[in-house]
Amino acid sequence: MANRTNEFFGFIKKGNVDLETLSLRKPKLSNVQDGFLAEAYIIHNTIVHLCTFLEKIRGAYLKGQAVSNVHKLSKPLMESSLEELSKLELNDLQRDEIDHEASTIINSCVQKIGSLQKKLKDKQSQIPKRTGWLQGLKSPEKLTKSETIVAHCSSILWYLQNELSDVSSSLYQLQDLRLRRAQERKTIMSDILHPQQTSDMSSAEIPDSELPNYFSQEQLVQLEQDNDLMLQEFEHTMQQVQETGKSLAEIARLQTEISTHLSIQSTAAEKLYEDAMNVADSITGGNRQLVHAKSRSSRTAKIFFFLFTILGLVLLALDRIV
Amino acid sequence: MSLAISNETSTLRETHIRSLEKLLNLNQNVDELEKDPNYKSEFPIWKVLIFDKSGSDTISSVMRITELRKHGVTVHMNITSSRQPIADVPAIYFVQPTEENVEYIIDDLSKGLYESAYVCFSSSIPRSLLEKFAELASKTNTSHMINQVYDQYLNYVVLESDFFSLQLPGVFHTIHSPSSDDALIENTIQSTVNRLFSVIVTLGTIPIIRCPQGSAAELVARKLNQRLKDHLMNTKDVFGTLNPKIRPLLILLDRTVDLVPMINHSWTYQALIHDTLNMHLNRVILESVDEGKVSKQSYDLNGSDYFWEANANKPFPEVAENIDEELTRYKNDANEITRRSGASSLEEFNADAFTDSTYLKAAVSLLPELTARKQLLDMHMSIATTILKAIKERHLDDFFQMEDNVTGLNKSAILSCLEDKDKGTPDDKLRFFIIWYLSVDTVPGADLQAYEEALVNNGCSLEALNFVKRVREITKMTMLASSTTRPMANQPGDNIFGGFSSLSSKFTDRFKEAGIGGLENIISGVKNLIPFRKDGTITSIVQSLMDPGSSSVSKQTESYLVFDPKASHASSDPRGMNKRQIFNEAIVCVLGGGNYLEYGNLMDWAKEQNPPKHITYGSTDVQSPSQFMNEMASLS
Repeated sequence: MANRTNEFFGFIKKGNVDLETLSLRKPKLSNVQDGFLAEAYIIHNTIVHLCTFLEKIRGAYLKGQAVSNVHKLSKPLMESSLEELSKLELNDLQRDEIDHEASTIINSCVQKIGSLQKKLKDKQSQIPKRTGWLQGLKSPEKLTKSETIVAHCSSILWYLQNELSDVSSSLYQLQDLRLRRAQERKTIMSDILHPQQTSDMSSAEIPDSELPNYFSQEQLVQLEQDNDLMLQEFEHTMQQVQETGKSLAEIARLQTEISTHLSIQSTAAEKLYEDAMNVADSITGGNRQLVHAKSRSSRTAKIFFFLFTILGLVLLALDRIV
Repeated sequence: MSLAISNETSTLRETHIRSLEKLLNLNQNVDELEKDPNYKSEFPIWKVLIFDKSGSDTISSVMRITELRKHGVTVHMNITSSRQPIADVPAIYFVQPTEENVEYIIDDLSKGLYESAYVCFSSSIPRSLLEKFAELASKTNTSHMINQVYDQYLNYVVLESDFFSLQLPGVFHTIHSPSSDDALIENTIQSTVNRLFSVIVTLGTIPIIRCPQGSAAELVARKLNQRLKDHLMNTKDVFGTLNPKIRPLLILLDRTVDLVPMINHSWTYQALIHDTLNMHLNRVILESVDEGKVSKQSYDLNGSDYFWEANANKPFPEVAENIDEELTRYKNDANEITRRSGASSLEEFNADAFTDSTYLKAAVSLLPELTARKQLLDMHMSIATTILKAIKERHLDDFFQMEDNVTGLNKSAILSCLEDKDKGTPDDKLRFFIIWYLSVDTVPGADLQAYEEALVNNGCSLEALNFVKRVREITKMTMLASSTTRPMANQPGDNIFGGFSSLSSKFTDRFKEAGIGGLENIISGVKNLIPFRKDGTITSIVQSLMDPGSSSVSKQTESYLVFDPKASHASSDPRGMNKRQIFNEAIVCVLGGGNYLEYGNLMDWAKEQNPPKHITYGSTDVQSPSQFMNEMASLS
């Protein structure tokens, strides 16, 4: 494509229009008058912010180490740059906090969208139904305007829900990946603690009764302590896996809820749009008919006028004669 | 201001959609938007889209309402409709550069319907009109409300991945009608050049143009060559992102090169839908009668439909089998999910019934996909059922078989077909006869009279035939190439149709499950045909031009003119061209009409080459066989 904007404004300038007050405009976003739209932009910015954060934190979130150095950050996690976050190493508690915070943000967005949805429904219920002879007396343009605005708002809500669905899906995938890696670690540890029987017994089992023959007392105590430590770690990992599994299930349910709302919104938005367009078409058609009728009626009015004038004159003349 | 970057693996449709998406995002760079979501916050997300009829056709053939919404379009309306104000949102105008549209835009801005306007003209706005636009904006104090003015070069329609239509009806009539005056022909040629130029701009490429001498194609080629030269000189950066080594061939041909594909009874899925269901701009409308009420259901067939993409160019019996396989696959997948959840069907599926998150995850992600798949398959089932009914009623399989071996038919076979009251509509019979007439060398006068009588007795009007008689000699000269026969690649022998009886019973079962009964006879009556694929005339011409050494038709195309917009010399002499040059990419444009049969034929040929060729095919208008028959009849 070719940008003709400069050429266009070149012609404007030739027309002695003051171009200083007329720079190539950045669109006006800061002073949106409409409350619904302003609220929608706030929700949108929140979702974009969360989406950006999840992308930045992904590396640190999925790293296997469990060391905490979050105290080294000067700003909260959400405000930190990609460079700072990529160097971060998180422990499981922090990961859970991130999950929780992200879920909370998503939940709050769901609620805000829900309240916008309610406002829209109220607006929609105020549109009178197009039935009954009384409705025909109301201004058709006002009806179309309301329906157009409702269709417009419905599409905005669809967009927000779609965006929210995408970001909750990203969160879901992150958690799922974390869970799978934790399960893999669990499997590895499980293998270590309960090794498989092999046909070659040379390096494998030593019967418990003969253990003291192979190890000294101190070594046995050390082995038992190591074993206990590994068991504890294993149980801890199991717990983490279960916790992650629960939050995963929760986000999956949230995701299902958002998807359901999205599909309902799509159907509703399409219906509203069709209604608005049908009314607009009817108005256009009706206006055309009115214009035709007006031209016809003006001719008819003239004919009647002349006819009645002539009849009146004839009556007068007859009266005089008589 | 850069064009879509030329990528040899990108289809025209992909590039076209990218251009449209850029337009819907206020001409920001969509790739950058996707990388950095924060980039979005500088520009309005939500906007209104206003278009005229041509803009509407361009968008609706490749994008659904959902895709528009994904790019922030809340409402979309026609520029001529009565529209209401929507506060605080800008409007994108996607319209042709006409005085009327410019006045509509200024009128909207004066009334304050929208916050501002991003004006995207579907083709290049002439300088004088742009000046008038600026003048009107200044007079009405609305110039501060206009953010952008762009020439989008999108005044054409893309139907399939590499199939375009310039949406110029009646070009065939204008070129061949004796009553067309020079001014009308000149306007037609100019419109064709403008729209073809848009296709070339979208592809981001400067082709070498070839066309036959002494034809409308030559007129278009000369003007287009000049247009490209001027554009290269004036706007040097427009094609700046090109790979200079990849220059495709643009082949311009007249429809009279071969009239047969336009009226052939074809056996491929897309050609059958176009012929029997009047598919228009990728939309099919099916009528169904339910308890006396006629209801219409419309369906869109486009690139997001995986089944359509895989089966559009396949023979219909194979498509029927594939629908069956897909339905079985769907049932297995659905049963797997319901079995794990304990629900008896997908409708009763409850996510809470899962305790294992692995299955929950699989189910949650699969469920929407399964629902979408079911809807798609239901749509194809409905379409296939309607096509089957049409095949049965009109005996389209018989016509196809006869046309496939048209030169082998004798007089009695032709007469018996024409006189058979049950076989086909009058239109079908006339189509068949014209194909035979164009395919044989001589027809004795007495025989022709007998045929014409039979046609008239069976309700045919002979106007189209009268036109064909006039152009027969011209067309027959160029139709020499269509007799080449090659077997279809990868044909699995008789396996596909060995089990035809099982196919028919499976398909019948599906129909019964879907509540459509009584079609056993239809399927059993339909003949099982996979043809040997013949190269169409245009395919042979394209082959000889892209790969000169390989084709027997080279002599015919050797005399084709050559135009190179990048060359400094003005010669169109084909002798100046390297005769051994092989092209791997080509754009083929037929002036006067195109159809799915030719498109499918070209695509099949291109895939078989080593390395595979990339061909983009299009025409001034895409017509169904009956529409083209009407156009020929209007010329008698």
